[in-house]
Amino acid sequence: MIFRTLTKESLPGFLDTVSRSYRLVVPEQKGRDTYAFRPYSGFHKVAMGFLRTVIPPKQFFFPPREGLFQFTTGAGIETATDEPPFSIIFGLHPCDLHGIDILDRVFSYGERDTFYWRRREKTGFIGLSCLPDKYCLCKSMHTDFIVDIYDLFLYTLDDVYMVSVRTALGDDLVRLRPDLFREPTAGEIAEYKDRIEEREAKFTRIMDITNLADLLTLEYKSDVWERFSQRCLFCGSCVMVCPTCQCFDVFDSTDPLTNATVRWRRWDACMRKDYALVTGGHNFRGARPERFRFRYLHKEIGFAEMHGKPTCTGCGRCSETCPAGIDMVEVVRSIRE
Amino acid sequence: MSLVPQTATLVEKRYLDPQHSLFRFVFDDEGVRASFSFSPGQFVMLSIFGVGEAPISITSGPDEKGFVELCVRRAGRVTGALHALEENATVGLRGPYGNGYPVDVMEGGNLLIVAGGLGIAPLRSLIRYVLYRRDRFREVGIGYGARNPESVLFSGEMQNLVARTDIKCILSVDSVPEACRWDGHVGRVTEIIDRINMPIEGTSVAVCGPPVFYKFVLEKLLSLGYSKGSIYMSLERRMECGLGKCGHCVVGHKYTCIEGPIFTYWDAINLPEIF
Repeated sequence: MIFRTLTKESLPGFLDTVSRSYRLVVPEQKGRDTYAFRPYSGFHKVAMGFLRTVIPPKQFFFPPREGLFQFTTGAGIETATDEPPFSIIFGLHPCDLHGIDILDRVFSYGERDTFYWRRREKTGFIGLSCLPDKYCLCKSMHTDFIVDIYDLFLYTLDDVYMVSVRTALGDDLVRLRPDLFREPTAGEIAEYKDRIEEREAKFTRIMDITNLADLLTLEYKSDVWERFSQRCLFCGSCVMVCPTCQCFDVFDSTDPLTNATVRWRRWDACMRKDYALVTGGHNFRGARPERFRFRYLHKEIGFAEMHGKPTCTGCGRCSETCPAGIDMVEVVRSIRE
Repeated sequence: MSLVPQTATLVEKRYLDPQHSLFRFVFDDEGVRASFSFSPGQFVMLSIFGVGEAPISITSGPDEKGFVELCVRRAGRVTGALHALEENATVGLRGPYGNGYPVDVMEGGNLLIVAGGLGIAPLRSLIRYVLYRRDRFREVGIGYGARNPESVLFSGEMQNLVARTDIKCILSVDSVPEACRWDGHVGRVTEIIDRINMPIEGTSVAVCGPPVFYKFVLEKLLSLGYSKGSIYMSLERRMECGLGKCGHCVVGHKYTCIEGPIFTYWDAINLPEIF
């Protein structure tokens, strides 16, 4: 890893250049307080101050709906042969980079998921530092800082970005415009240190996750689950916006004219009533409290047992999005009480 | 590619009873046909194109090469469409998935197999595994319970097992309708466990059947003194990928498709949401 600095006035020129060599994706403002990752169409559209997009970056490797193959009687099974273009996603905060790390683990566990990796392998990441708002829980989840996954990471200082160059791809990007990058000065290093402390002080909300896996196990039969599941609409919004929720449903559709069948997969949510329903009518998790509880147990315990860490990245999307106003901090606090 | 099946041809459809048939498939690709191998207790994802995909236990033995047999009840969308297929129809198969029975642990000891109804489907694969290498096991006992003589699946094969002297196989039915001939036991499947009378020490027990069957058989096995770690059960869950990714088969904290579907009773009771 090496460090360089890039002046703020130079960033548009840098991104313009990157966009000529790669498919560049950047955060753009959509509604009053909503953002989305979109193909780059000029620096004036880049929302540098954004905190979180509604849909997390998982959509680029694991699209909401994806055709897996086509079957016809004549040709049998045919899979897509197109090569996805190499993409660079700009503006990823540490929580989203941690989210990608978690998806990488899921989609490489056991048999590698070729559909995920064919796009993921051809994507580079430019991280961007951020300051927390009232929903951010990365400090609590220890995801407020990241040392891997990214290729370049930009820390915002007053006049420049302190740029961490982690990979050879990051170096390739820097070398597209070597004239824009230089060695950091002693003053810039001092400013970088001050910024770390300033950011630390801005985390106002803390979720205490000490021994949380144990507490969730001990409170398996708690009435907390019943209470929150009365409020929950089971709409699955928290799942759709979660950077690490990766459940999917597999189904077929047949074109009535050509008789060609397409096998699809699409995002699914463990909150749905028939999620664990089997043929014959038995539902292993039919009751509302069971479905509500399962998501917490899987995120905090189940995944951690399999992959070594809990899956919540503290990005705050679920709390911000929930139409019933259910906040994970409140759920965890209720379990602790 | 993950999630993409191989095409296979339905070469034989053997009627077992009004609800169950045995389907024999041959992979269309010669290379796949030659390389496909599996352990007893593993399953495949069966595709009926245009209808969908379902997880089905493999019923043939791992030593029978060149084809795969699935014993399937007409129960839902995919299995209903399967039963409607004619011979020579094309389906999709991918797998094998799951852990299968721990045959390396079972070999060298005694083996007790207890099946109820369609629970014979994965256990028939294990039985065939044992028959191919009978000398690697000490005492072998098989108990199979069905509702009535007509619902005994693979009755010819099962009768052959009853006739063997190197295996103690007893069939049991809940009741015998009038005008029906039946030489086996009539009563509860737990009673034939007593009659098979296997040693407790050094015996692995493989159990598969419907939920109420599990309840009584497990109670019986524990009362006889079998260790929870020596009883293997096969769990059923909704599955959409078979690869530990889609999430549907998670029981408590485990993916049934990867860490199961075979669990020891001890592992199973330590999973929340087990039944």
